[in-house]
Amino acid sequence: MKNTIRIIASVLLIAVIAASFAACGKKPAPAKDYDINAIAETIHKEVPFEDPYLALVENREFALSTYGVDPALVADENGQKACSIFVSGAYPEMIVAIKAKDEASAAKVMDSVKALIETYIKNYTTYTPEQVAKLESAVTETRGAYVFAIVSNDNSAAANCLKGLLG
Amino acid sequence: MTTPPPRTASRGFWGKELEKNEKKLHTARLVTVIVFTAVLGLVFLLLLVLPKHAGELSPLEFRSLQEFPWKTGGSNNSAQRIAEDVVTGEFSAHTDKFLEDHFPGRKFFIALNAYTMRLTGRNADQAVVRGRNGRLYDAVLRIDEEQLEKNVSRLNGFAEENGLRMAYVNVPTSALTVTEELPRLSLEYHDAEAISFIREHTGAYVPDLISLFKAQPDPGRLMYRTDHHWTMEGAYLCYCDLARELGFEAVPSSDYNAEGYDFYGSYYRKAGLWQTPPDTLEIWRSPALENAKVTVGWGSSAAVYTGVYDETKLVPGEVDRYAAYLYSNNPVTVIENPEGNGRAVMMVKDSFGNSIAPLIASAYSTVVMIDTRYFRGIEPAPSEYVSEYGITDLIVVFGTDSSVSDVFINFLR
Repeated sequence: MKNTIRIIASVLLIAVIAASFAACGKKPAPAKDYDINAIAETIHKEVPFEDPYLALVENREFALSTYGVDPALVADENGQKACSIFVSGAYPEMIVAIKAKDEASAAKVMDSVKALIETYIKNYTTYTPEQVAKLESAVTETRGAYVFAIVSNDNSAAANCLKGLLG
Repeated sequence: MTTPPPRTASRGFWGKELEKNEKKLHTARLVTVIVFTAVLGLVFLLLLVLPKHAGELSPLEFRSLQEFPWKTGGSNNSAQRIAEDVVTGEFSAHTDKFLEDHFPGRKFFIALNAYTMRLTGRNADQAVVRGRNGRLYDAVLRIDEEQLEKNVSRLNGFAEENGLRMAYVNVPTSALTVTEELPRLSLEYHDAEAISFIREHTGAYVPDLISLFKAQPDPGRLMYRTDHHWTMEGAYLCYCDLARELGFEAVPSSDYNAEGYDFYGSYYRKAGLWQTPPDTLEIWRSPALENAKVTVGWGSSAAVYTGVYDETKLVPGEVDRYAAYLYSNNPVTVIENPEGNGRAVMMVKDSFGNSIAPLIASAYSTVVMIDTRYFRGIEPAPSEYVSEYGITDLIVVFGTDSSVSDVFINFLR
């Protein structure tokens, strides 16, 4: 009887350990070409945002500098930087879609975006803490050389929308 | 553990003593198990039955409490989403935080820890330093000279590009000015070094608030005990100093009617010393300020108010009373005083600016407040406001924390 219990416990333990490794074994999605402008526009239309005036920053170099992103890391497309960034004037909401030059550059771009989100958390914690939950559950995704970040009024919907667009 | 000898008539006195001790040990173990299980059971029961405030704003700590772990997905709380969170570890992280935020007697245990730390002298390196007479102090701030130089340089550049006369107010932490209530053991604060650095790197007027405040009969009245901000008296002292330097006439303090409200500030929320008595936050009213037009934001999304105080923040039960000053922090706020002196000033500020701005607006006809921490890149360029309102002066009002932090000063263009 004791041996039976020991065997069952061992099997259960192995199953739990195997399950915990499941996330580690996740393979990255294969890289594709994405239309970042179309993706950002779709997210803007489909995902709920608290700010009805969420707007695209037309000056792309300026948009990158506001996110602390080195423009040298970002690919060029049709004579301008390959990025589509929507920002809010009143809330920390954002849609960020950037095509970096390569995967290594994409990792650095994502670091800058995440650092900015951390700064927003610090700024908003003291004065409008109800915005902090949005920032803490921000959607961030890197696919090959592409970097995406969304802070919205429903980040779960944002994550699903992005997943659907990226395939 | 050795096996006792068999219970025979020959065990004698020591054998009987051993038997008695074994019984006591057995009873003690049983009691321990019962009490331990009962406490765990009680905590679990209380966790189940006590009302939850998941996702709500905690009035004590002024932050949102953790949502139920199965409801953190916004519009997607499906079984599939929850299962994914279990695999990635998000579910257990949310559960940990939920249990922390809803642990029975949480407020009591936080206070127990805070008062124990204070009584045992473990104080100097905490996030909030507990001083004497109920005063709380900020932790020591590390001065990032590189960031400070970037901020000062951009401010200098902006003033020069727009032909503005500049004053730079760096408000030091209360540990520099209310020194008699510091605990016996405290670390050294570096705000004075930051102020010296600013003075060396700008041609702007930099008021010496440390000397000014310490020279007052009661410096404790100039900074809140439970908050990092200055009081209206502290802001007024600085306002008079700026008036002398920038050449505008300061409105006498007797022209204002002061109203007091109980106020628990940022230090109180972090300290856990719930028995600390409240501060008194003062609202200084005057007919000019009551009639001032305040525009928050720009373009079609702008909100327009009459009067510089948000009365909704002064009602009983309101947590963040400091937000009554000029409707909290916003990227752009314009105050227009029809009874002003005809001059216009720009204030690049953090929250310290909110309480001094009404005083400055008592004198100036237009005050344009810029808080670059909340700029996102779609706002009008601050230089456009300089042209639009004929601004001649620039007053920077930062706490030391903002002076040495990345406050997105590059938006000042």
